[in-house]
Amino acid sequence: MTVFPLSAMVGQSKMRLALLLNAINPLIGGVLVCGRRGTGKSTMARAFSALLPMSPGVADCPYFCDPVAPQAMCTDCYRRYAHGENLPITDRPTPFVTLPLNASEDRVAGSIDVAATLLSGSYNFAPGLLAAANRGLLYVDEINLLNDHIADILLDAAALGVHRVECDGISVAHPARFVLVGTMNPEEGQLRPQLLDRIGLYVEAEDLREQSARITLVERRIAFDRDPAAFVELWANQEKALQARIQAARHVLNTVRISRYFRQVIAHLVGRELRAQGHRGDLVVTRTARALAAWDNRLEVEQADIEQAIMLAMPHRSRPGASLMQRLARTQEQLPPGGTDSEQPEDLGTIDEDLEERTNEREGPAGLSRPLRGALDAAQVKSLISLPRDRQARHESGRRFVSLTTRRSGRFIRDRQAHPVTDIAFSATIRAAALHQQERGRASGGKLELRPDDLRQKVRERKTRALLIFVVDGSDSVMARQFMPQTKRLLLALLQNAYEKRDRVAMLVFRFAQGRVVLPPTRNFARARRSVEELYIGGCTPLATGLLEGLRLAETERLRDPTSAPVLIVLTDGLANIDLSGNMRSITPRRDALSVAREIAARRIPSLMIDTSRAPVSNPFVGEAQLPIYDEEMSPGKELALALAADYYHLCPPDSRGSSTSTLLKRG
Amino acid sequence: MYTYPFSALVGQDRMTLALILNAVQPAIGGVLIRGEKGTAKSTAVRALAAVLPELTVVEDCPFSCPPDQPENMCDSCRVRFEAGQMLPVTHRQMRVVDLPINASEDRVVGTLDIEHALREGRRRFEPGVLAEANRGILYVDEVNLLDDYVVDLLLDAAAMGVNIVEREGISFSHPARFILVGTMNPEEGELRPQLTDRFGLCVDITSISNILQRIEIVERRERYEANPTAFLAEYAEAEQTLRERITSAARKAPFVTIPRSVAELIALINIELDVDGHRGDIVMRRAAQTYTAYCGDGQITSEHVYAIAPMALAHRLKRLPLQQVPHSIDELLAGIRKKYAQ
Repeated sequence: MTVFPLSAMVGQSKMRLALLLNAINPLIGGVLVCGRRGTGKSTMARAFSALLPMSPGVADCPYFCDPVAPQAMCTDCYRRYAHGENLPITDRPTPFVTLPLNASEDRVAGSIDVAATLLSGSYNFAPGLLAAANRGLLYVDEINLLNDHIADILLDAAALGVHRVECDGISVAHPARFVLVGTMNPEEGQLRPQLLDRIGLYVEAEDLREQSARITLVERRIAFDRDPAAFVELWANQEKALQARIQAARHVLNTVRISRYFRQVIAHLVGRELRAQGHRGDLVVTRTARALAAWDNRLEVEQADIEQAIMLAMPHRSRPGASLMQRLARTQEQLPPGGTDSEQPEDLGTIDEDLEERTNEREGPAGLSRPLRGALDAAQVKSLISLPRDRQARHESGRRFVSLTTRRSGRFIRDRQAHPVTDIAFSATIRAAALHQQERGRASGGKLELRPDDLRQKVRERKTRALLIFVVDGSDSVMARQFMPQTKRLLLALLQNAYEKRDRVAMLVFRFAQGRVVLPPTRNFARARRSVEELYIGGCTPLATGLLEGLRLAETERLRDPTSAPVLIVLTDGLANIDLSGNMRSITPRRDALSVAREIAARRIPSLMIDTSRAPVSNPFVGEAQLPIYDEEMSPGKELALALAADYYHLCPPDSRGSSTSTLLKRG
Repeated sequence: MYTYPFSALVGQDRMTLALILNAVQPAIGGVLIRGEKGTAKSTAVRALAAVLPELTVVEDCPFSCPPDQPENMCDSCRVRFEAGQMLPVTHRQMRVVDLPINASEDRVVGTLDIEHALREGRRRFEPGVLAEANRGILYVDEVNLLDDYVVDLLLDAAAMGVNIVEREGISFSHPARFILVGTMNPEEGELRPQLTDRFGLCVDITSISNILQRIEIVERRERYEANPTAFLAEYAEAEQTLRERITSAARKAPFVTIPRSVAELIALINIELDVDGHRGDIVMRRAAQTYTAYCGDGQITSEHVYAIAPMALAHRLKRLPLQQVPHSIDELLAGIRKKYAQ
């Protein structure tokens, strides 16, 4: 297939540069591209891999080992190399491997060679996508949506360059060094921090704003589609020049010097100013700065290289909102060039808390952009709803918690006999059949004799979703009025979280004598958002009725689908003034509420209690003096949480400045 | 394949010491390394393989049985030993065996040998990862991401020192004594308490804030990447020295004496910190003994005890579910030390 030439691409200059730097030094560790679809990300990645020069490799090796790099060879090639064998060598273009989101574990990691096993009874490893990507480029579109168990496989390979399989009767370790190129749209959920850190560079995809550039882009694309070969021919010289430049840069890379001063700046900036976790930041910035100098055919790293390297290597390794260039400038103010080591060793080793304080003020909440506020709130509720791993086989998929699954995707954990078999566990089936081959008259080396009894089914596990039922106290009180903005903020954050985890949501509000479902179970988050925004308060508090409605909704859901996982999230101050029968003058409103709560716990519906009464935090700006402040031990909210067997949190009062980045919740 | 040399690691002294102590004395029971991403956790464990001491093993045994200890042998070796046969003996370095987090049950415990069954039509046990790890180090990177059922298998084998397999018509057991080394980033989830307790030592590590050390880390890594062979040659002597020191400490450790006052101190620390059970006492004594031998001393002092106490106790402090840890283990130990300084 003819690939669109890289030199003919318009725009995406940052991504192009990041890819080229990886071509110069693959140890940089790949690129993460953030942005919307249809901005040419995958075309760019494909064009880039096509541009890379042919490389020699061992012809008969499934991993195409580099014949002159014994340290990176597979065990087979290494053995042959060590025995002085003459390895057959051939040239091959750099592989470009796409990892689709729905890829199954055995295709990614490799598995048994089924055909060979059935036909001849030999039991061999058939390498997967990671093997195919060795010494090439592995492209993962929407990498943040990758299933956890597939991401786990990537983690090791990306860090070590070695992929090890201990699965399904197979034990293999093979080299898997690839440049990982991932794309993501952050609105769809974040990338796991562990994986994020292992990707070297980060760029945001650019939209082409300029009219003429857009026109050029379209014209080139049309010309390419009309006659790909002629178009490629037209750009061949540019492509050759680019290739030559990469080769030249690779050549000088190891001789590029980086001054002691810049090393200090990097260490200080990454370790102290940005407080990035670990040491990968230092390493990647240094490698990138050197690759940048090599790309410009210089032998000395300059200030501009450092700046550019930081902008590429640090955005995803720093806290949100930190201005990297400001931090660099401040670092360099403190570290005048020409300062020698002896002047500044130990005092740099200690942490300057003052500096941290000042930093927070300067780049505090006011400076944050709007979407970021939501992101901060979302971060606060990130691990609020955590459900234990589950042994029930469920149909639905999602990202909330792990359970067994009836789907044919997910992590294969063991096999069992089943009838009918829908998802065959191959090695277990072969094992079951193996012992009977002679009695079934199979000739040695011949086709395998299988019987229905041999068949084994895979038992799989995957992440599934929950149904979050928000039970919201909508009754009127002075406190409720004050807390309403906070309540909405919290609900919106939880909705964002539910969206990322692929949950369904429902909401019911109780006031007067009833609990009303304002949002039936849905995946329509726009509607859910509207329901939250339309929340208002008024009336008295039928707590027991509200809880009972929540329980009913959960039970209905379980009837509809016995494998669904409802979770109740109760937002109330725990005070009640109407009992179950709707009687206002009742003396048992609390007792009723507690007994419904106990029923919820007895039916094993997981719940979360968020207390909206005055939180036990001192804040002079909130709460009139006459309002009761409950002792934490005996507050009605806490009592209710105990009855529900729920995790218990306090909603924090809005802070005095009305800042929307304050703490939302406090564990009670 | 090359690995970065252990002696070229910069800083993280507690982590390197914990690994070395286990290499000297496997009975300490492994180490759990908790820390931020990118702090050389995996690098350190993989580098350890090169400085591990030599073992004497039965040459043709897949479980690396010790040729002179019938009580620790697999059935086949023991039968041969008791029949008075000469077991073929060889020496090899202790191994670090990787357990990938997506490992499946059959490969962890071992299973029916398919090739053999297809060829011969007979059952034979194919050893798994636990067999390979016998008398060596079993390394689980991202141990907190390990599947529960694999964790259960590990716990069973670790508790008994034996791997019992009953599956697919195979009934087999073999010794599985391994040093469990796990690394994890707590950001990705906590570890089950039963598994945490199974680790002899535990170290928490963070990034190094010292600027000169940070620069050193980058420079060494760059030199290693530019020319691994030359870099390894540069550290060959240091590696050899360390290997010898570990081997000699292993020889001396059993002869290290423990004065009554030090034994009392260990008990006292455990009582003061209200540590659950007695594993803390046992591990502390073993670790202190090993550390003393590694320092080249003959008698344990309170200094030795305080040096290893944080590693032995960091993961054994009582903690209620909702309670935040009020003090770090180091602060608590400093408190005890002050209180009982005479």
